[in-house]
Amino acid sequence: MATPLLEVRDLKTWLMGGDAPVRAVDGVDMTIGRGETYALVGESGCGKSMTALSVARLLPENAQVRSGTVNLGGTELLGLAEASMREVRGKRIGMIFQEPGTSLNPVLTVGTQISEVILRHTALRGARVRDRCVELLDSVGIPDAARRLDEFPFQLSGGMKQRVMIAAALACDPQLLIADEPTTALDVTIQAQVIALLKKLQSERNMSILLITHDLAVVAQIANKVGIMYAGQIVEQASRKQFFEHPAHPYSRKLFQSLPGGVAGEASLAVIPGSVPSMTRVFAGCRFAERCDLRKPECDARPAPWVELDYQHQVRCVLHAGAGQVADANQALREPKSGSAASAAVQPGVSDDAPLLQVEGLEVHFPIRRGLFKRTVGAVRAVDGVSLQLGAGECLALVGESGCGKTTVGKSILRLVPPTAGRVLLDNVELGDLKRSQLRARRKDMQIVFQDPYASLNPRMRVAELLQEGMAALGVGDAEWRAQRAHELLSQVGMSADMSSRYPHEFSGGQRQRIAIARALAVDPKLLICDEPTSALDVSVQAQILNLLKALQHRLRLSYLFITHDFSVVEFLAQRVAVMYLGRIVESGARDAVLKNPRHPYTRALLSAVPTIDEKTQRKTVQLKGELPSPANPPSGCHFHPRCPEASDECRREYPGQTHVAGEHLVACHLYR
Amino acid sequence: MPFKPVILWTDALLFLLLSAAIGFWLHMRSRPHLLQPWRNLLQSRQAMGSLVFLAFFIAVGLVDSLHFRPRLSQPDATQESRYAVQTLSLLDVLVGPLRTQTEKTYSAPLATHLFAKETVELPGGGRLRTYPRLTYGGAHLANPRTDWLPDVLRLTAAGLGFGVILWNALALLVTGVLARRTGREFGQTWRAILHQREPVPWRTILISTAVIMLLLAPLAVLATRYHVLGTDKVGQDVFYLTLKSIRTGLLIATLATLVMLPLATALGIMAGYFGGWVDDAIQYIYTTLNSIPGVLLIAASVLMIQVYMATHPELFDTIEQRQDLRLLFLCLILGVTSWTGLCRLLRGEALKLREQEYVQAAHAFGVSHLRVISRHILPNVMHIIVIAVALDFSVLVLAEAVLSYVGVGVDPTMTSFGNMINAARLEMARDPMVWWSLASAFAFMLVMVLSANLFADALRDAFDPRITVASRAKA
Repeated sequence: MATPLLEVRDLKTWLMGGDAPVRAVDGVDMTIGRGETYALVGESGCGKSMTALSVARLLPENAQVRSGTVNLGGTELLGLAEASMREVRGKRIGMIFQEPGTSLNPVLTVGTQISEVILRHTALRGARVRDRCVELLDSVGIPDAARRLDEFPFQLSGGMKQRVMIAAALACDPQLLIADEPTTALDVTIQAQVIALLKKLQSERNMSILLITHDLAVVAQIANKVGIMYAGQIVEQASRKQFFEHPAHPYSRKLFQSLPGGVAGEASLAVIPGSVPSMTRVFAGCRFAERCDLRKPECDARPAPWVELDYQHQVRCVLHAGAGQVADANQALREPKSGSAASAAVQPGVSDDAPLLQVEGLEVHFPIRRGLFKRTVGAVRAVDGVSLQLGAGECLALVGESGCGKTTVGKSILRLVPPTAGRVLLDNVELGDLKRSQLRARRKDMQIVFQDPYASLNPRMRVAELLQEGMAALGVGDAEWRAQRAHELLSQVGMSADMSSRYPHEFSGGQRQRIAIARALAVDPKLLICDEPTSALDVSVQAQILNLLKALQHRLRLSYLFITHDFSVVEFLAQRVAVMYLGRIVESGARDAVLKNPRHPYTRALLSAVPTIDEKTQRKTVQLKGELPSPANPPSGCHFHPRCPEASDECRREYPGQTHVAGEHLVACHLYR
Repeated sequence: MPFKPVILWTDALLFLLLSAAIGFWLHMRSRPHLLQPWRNLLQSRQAMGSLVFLAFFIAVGLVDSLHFRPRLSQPDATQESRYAVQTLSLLDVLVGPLRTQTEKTYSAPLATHLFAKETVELPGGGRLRTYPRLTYGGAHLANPRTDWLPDVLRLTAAGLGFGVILWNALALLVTGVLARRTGREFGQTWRAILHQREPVPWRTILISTAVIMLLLAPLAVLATRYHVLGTDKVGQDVFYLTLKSIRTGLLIATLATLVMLPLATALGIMAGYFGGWVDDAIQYIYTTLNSIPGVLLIAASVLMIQVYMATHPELFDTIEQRQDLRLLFLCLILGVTSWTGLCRLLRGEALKLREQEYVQAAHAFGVSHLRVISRHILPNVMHIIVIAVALDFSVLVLAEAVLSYVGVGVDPTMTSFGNMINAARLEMARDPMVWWSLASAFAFMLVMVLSANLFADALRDAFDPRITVASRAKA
């Protein structure tokens, strides 16, 4: 490698304004070569976005770069005047952000927004600007680019918007592209498209990418070099191959172990105890020491040394200091955590009795009203004939992309959204026939855990009040008993009872999700609907919650309807899987049957799009064309046929019926008639 | 008893409101998350500075709301006591001579002679057209031409000195209490205040107090000998009228809010939370109400009550009672016409909160609607209500002035900023101009509305969830 493109040395960025400065970035060094992809990986709050913003000098007002240098191809960026910095941004550094929906101005056409960059930074004018825009949109794979230029962002889907953002970022052939969680807000199939696009663009243009992500699987797909960030510092830096084969830092190791994908159905996940430390404090020793299994006395005494293990592989850990200790370190790291796997092992409790929950032909249509008198002109068929069965103590995973109606299924089972048609039987009682008061009594048996732990707890209520609300509403026990029960519940979800007088804002995301689970468990439900309970959480916290859910299922014989888009979670927790597409279930069956031997083309595409960190099991990726159609106007025949690589004429005409392929394994596809 | 307490309707409501505010405060004291924005407010310089001014106005208003009728002196003690027809307030007693010492007609601020020439009978029998001496203003001066300026300067200086002494006493008291509380030395505490190292901006508070005291103390001292702000057409002291107007403005602002608040809160939350036909019905009501010009509706209602009161004079024992009823009615009308804005805001917020997952979770437990509204929705829209009340305050004070000016406001015999301005209107054309009525009404109202607005601004910042979230994220 000749001179690197970007060199960051000892970068320190502090956020001022609070009682003490937050040391968001606290001494980061990194080097990105030309044509290289550097993935900066870390959990939320570790300072990875702040690092990127410091490089582009787009920091929020209360942030200050305290020291360090950022050198981009020979230019020292931190010393530049703001006017010259504007020349660098857009021209030499392109940026794309996480949320494509809010990164584009909704009142300007796509073409205007891209040409803005071109006009600012190049000499192109007039018709040639437009030609360049078309060329750019073509290169990011947007079909019919000339027409798309005159469209507004609302006419584009999420994946399309992200492509437009990439096109705008690439307008002036930047040397460095900073991508801040570019695929986090997208579905797996779209994520696969965007990653493939980034890879293609990089090899075509010999561009460097600084990729910020929390997702190790994405890193495995695209990165050349990986930097792991923890509490404002890079704790390990290595090439992709070295990192995935021999992660050296205990934190990196733990991150791998807490991924649910690698663990078979019986074991529990390794967890990192505690949470990321507050960055307002000044650290004397190693920042990870408090959460580390391999903590030594010297870890607390002085900062961990930056050890060069190998050309291109450095780690900030005392275990690797000194040549003789490396072997010990590897030994220590390799030793399995005793007991963790065995102790919480769970037997899937599938019963032979009548199923706990039976859903037959459930339909939820939201009317579309127009005009003065709000005439119904159509319907959004969010759920369009879903049938499910769930036994006691069983976990059924409902999988699908966003917008396929899986959350609506969960809510309409609980009657939070009134179903349009269909039957929901809980313990052989049809819920639709019940009066309001009778239904209220049945609510004891079914509860829900929501996705966003920040939105699901009322910020104005104490934890104890939150936990007791449901019990009080359903008239369970007297006040004293309920207070007692709230304490039990807290310890059941691994929190201490003295937290019950605090308010939700004092807790981290993972703790809040525990409280939300405790609240749902307060009334001893038989069925727990989990609506993506871990998708808003970091990997290490996700592992804690998944372990908890698994242990609770075993201990309390709960049934879960687990709504998710994440197959690795499915693999870890579910016994049965149902895959949903546009309001209907296209494939269902036992977990192993569906995941190992998917039949429906959609399931196959979905599974192949999931990025894996294991390079050995490289699957052939089935790239899906386009995106989920609107449920207000589903395609004729099989809903999937416009995106299906194996569609035939029959598929266009008629929706396929359910076919038994083997035992319980059901598929709705013409291929298996 | 030397007096008979009179509780006017508006007094009762005002004190009810005050006790509700105290109750709200007690309720919040044990709830740190509710207290947090108020604590932010306490640390805001803008809020505390404007609050000092506002507190002055509120104090005047409250003192002016304690009404009574003094007992008439009777020669025979065995008879049943009889009380005066006129209702007085505590303020009237405190300012004493200001109320009773009325001149014949206009006189300029601090004047010793009337503003208009009059024909005076000379003791010798002849007649002279001249500016006669005032009965009370500057009456102690033997030779006004030479004595006036030194006397005014002397009184001003005495007033300033008095203000400085008072302020020093206050500053000592604050520092002393603060030093005792924190256990520091006196000097150390004083330096902390001076260099703004205290969490509460005491320096700002003390400076604002100093401004008020240095303005008011000379005014008060001068008022003992002169009509500091002049007299009006019938010779009433303008300073006194201005002080009395404060209560009217305050009452309109707070009582109209009292009427508007339950309407706006209940209907707004119901519309947003229940949706469907409830929402449609409430939306139609406020859309219709909004399309009628507010002034028209107010004028119509006020004229109606005016006719009613004119035909039923037997209902009112005193003038004050009649004025009071009209004031109350005006508050009612203002409340009814001004609830739509807040209602719309709350509807939108409730619409958003309804979809929040914690509300859904409550539904999943079968929690009743009333409980969901009172435990989940209402506490989470409280900040909007507080801000709206603070912002509406100044709007309503100004509305009173405008309405009284147009003639559909408070009773014409009641002292209010609007009536003062209305009375001064014609005199603006006079040459030389009678400017002091208008100027003092204008100045007092400006300070009151400005401090209310500044306070509302700081309040909004303290309650803005984005700002608090940002500061929490930083911490």
